[in-house]
Amino acid sequence: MEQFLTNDEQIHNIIKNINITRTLFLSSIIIGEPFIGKKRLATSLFPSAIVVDAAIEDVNETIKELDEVIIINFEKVKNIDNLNFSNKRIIAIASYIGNKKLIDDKFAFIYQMPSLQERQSDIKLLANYFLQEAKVNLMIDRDIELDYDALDITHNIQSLKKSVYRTLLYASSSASDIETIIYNFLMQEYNEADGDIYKRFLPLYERPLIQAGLDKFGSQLKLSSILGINRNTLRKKINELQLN
Amino acid sequence: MNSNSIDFEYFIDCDNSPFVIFSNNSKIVYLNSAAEILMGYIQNRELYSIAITHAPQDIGSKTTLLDLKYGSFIFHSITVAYKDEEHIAIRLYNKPVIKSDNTISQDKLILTDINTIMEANLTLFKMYNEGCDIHLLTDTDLPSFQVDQNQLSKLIRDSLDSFKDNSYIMVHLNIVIGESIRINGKRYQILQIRFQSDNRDVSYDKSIKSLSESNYIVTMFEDNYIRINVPMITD
Repeated sequence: MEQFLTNDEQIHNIIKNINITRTLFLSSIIIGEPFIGKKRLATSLFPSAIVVDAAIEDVNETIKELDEVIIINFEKVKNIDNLNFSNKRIIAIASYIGNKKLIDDKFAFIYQMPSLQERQSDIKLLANYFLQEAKVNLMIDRDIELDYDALDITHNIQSLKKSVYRTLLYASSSASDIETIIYNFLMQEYNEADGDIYKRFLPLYERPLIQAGLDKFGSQLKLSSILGINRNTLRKKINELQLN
Repeated sequence: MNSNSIDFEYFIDCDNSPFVIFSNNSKIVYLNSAAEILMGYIQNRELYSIAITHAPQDIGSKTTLLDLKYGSFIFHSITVAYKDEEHIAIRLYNKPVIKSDNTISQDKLILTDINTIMEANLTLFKMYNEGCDIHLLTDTDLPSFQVDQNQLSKLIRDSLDSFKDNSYIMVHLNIVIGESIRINGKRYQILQIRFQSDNRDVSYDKSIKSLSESNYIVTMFEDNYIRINVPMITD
């Protein structure tokens, strides 16, 4: 059985409530932003339920012979009025609701699932879960620390997962990996070469070189000495690259 | 026509409209079967007061058009009569009820523990209405009976929502003694769910009424409570 990871009180309450009703033949709907774990929550609670995607299937036709169904993308259902949920255990999932009255008419239990932004206690929990998963998938042994404040949660779990994987990739890349990445990138750009490639892409190297130095030492004088270039040359570069 | 030997009391007793005779000190001297049930919803003193208020000025009878509502009883008029100073009688005329053509579909009904449905609904309600305390009074040994679980849940949800702006809601479940609901020729015991608080949002009434009617549930509305009579179908 899939496990649903959460420390959030509201989601614990949803789980508790669904567990009370799990033996009843009721229609329930979980509503919330995309990528907050609605489907995973439903499948973890009803592992034997058939999953029907309203975006690609005729829901009314598909559920006719089924007793226990998870309907994903419920907002895509056409002719909600015609749906017959009698004597069925229905768990629908929707990113939004168009007509509240129709939803009230069709569903006895309506759950509002909080976004990741509203579940601060879940961000660290899920980030660590994805970190361990990514380490296994990418075969990385060494310890890598996440900056939780820097993780991207604008698209909930989807962007959180991406940013954890990205962090891991960056932290585990060698100089030759970076060279390969730049090489592949530039090979693409050469396909559309227009004569100023050198000027356009030199900052790819210069910007991180100087920005990292400034962040590390905080002083242009010190950095110019470390880089082995003239202070005025460094200042000129900083202005050209519009760095702080 | 000689009617001296006819037992009128029997026929009055069978009358569906409540009939009560009071003594001059407001004590009930006689009441028919319908009035016996009515007295579960109204105090003697209140009914006596209505009789006195609408009594004819002289000996005789007087009929008054009057909308009265007590529990599931709705009356459109009353007749008050007296022929001496000792007794006064009141008859309350039932408002005609439009008979629903819905027949209950047995295959939609599932044997259900009402307390499980109630617990699930209360947990969900509390999740989104933290400022409203629920006081539940129920009997955990209530027998299971057959209901359309989805429809009953929606009915309970809407009833709770109609009180959600209050700081508390009293919810009381009990079996009603002496009354029954007749469906397809059969009589069923009644499980009553009573929701009560200070104020009620009447905008949910239409939906509650519609859900009730399609499920042979009798619902009564008052300013501060909703009473839902659910037939306890067991076969």
